[in-house]
Amino acid sequence: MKKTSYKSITLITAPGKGMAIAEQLFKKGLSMVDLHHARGCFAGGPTRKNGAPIESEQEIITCVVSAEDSNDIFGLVFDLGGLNQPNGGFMYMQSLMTSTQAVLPREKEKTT
Amino acid sequence: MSRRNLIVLTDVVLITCIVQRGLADTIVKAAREAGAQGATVYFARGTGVRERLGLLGVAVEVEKEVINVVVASDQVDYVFDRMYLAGKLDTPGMGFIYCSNLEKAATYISPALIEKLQAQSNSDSEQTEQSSAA
Repeated sequence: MKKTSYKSITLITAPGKGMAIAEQLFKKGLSMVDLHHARGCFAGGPTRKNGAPIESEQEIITCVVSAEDSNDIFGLVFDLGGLNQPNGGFMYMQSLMTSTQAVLPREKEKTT
Repeated sequence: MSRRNLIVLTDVVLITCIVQRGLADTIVKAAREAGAQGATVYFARGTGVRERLGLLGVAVEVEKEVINVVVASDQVDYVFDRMYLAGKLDTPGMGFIYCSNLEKAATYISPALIEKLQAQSNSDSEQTEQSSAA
């Protein structure tokens, strides 16, 4: 197995935006993208009487990318998520120890 | 097209906590009181210690809640402790918690806050120059 360093990029965004972002990432050639739902709260958000935060639905997109492309893709996800606008969401990147690289059959055909 | 303004936060840590279903709200509340800016919670199904605890493994809920909290690295110990205590994670089978370093994070930061931080860093550097000159 080829040893390459990988990074994971996670975007927490508003519901309804996730699938469009995932499709855009697929179009850019990323094949390891995961989308799931969560509930979330943020600073300054509403709270219940007992002080517990009132949480709303969020979508979480996680993609694994090679380290050399990670900064470019980080910027791309930032733009796709609209994080330069208020309530755009939050994103982070972390190093991975190791990862497999999934290549879709259609991409495989193109490379061979 | 909107102007691109990518401000990256460094020195941030991700705290992940896995607990039995229904306990996340208490832990999120504790994290927020300790200074965390936000949290996300999602459901999962877990196994492992469950089979070894209690009669027929019914003592530990199979459904889990996973809590993700991103905090500044100087806050991480305090938030971690508060979450640990709120979740009673010193009790076997209650769950576990761990921290992982993040390379960078990004979100919207208001221009007013950026100006305030820049002014603060400028005054700090001026003070340093003055003290070094003296």
